[in-house]
Amino acid sequence: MFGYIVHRLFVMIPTLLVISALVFIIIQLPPGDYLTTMINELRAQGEAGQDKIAFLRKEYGLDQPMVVQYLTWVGLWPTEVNGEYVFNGMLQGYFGYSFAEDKPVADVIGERMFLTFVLNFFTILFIYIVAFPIGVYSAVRQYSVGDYGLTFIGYLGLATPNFLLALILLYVAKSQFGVDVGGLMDEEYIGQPWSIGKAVSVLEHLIVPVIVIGTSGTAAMIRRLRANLLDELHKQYVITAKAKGLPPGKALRKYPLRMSLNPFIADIGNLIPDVVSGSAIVSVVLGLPTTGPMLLNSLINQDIYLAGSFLMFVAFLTVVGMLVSDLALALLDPRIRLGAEASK
Amino acid sequence: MTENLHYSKKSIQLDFLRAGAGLACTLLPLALVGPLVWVGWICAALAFIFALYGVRTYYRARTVARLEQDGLYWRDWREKQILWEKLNKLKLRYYSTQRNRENGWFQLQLETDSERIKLDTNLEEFDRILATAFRAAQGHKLSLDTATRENLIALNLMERA
Repeated sequence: MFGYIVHRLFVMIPTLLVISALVFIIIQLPPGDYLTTMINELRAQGEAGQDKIAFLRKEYGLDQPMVVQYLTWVGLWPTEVNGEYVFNGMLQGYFGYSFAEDKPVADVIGERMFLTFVLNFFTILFIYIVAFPIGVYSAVRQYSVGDYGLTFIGYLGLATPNFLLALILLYVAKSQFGVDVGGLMDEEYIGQPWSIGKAVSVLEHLIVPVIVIGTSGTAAMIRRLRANLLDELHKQYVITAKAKGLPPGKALRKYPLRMSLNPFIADIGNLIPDVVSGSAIVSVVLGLPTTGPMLLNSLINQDIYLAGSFLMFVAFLTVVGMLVSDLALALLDPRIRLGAEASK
Repeated sequence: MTENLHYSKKSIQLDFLRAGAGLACTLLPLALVGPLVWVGWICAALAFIFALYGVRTYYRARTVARLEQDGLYWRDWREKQILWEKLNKLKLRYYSTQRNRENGWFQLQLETDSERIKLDTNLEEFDRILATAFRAAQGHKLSLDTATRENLIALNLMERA
């Protein structure tokens, strides 16, 4: 297992480097940049001379080759700060400068990153807590009324776009109960330091977005768990165990349930990017102060360092999630699975 | 006459390369670019793991095994032996870093009351050691866990019940 952990960690380092390079290249791909747009606006107003343009490009490091910009952003290339050359990038906790907000990225993101993390954590928790019992029930009581009912709800959850569900819930809450479910906390707590009251308010407001964002993931997970558990339940060893008089509960828990848990564990890594990207549009609709709406704006504005930092954050979470799921899977199920690809 | 068995040179070289590259990727940023405190701690922890891996590879390079009729004799940083008549545990694990679980390796764990030996596919004559150990386990009617049984079936050493 130690050898496996090292192999897996060793794969993770170049993966993160390649992802960071790809993120940087992709956010640079569209023609022009935020500064070009700004300079064009200044030119149109007759306020920008060549000197000022050159000054701004040098100030923001946009006059450097792309490789240097990338290495500087990561924190592997020194930059001049107050006449001294120092490393000042992501590795040092400096994520670059947001042109649109005219502030360092870390200041712009602020509390939003934490709220995004909390929202996504509870969403993933919701998916697991809801999907597990329903998936097991649907498989054990296959073709029962309960199974058909839950399967129908599952298909509805899969087929309904998150933003649509958010709009419906907003409408129903407002028209039927007179409650505004938008935002992630009561207005009196916005911009205030953290307190118990603020935490409680955040938890109360989390319920709707967690359900909205988690529904499709839950439905998908229920389908997968049901299918996997049914495969296991139809295997010879389960039939033999039942024939020999093993109680049904034990015959379920002992091996089939354990074996069917693989997709649960394997999906930790896949769920994170799905949930984060899924929450972006929902956050816009529900007016949530998460990183989603900001990511959307930064991509539209070509605010490269802000967009790049968000994408790196998601990528980092995904890579760590994959690592955790791979390690857990190797620990729980170290079998060779011949034709694993074909059976997916 | 029984021959001495070693880990393959290629696997040892690759492992040293991994340990070296891992140390370089973690220690160089730590020493040269002054990372954030928590990033520094992560780099230090990873460097420690890669250093341990380097030490383990060094001992694997020195490992000598001998497969005898009565058991497996082992020498890395100390001498050990697993006598087949005393074998009380056999575990066979499969690990792969690829999504399709190809190009992985098997790890065999053999135990008696007093000794434990772990070896993997990169050891010469791994298949012969595994087959011999499995025959001994069958002789003692050892109970094998599900993962071990599935892996033995995949290697055609055991038939599905």
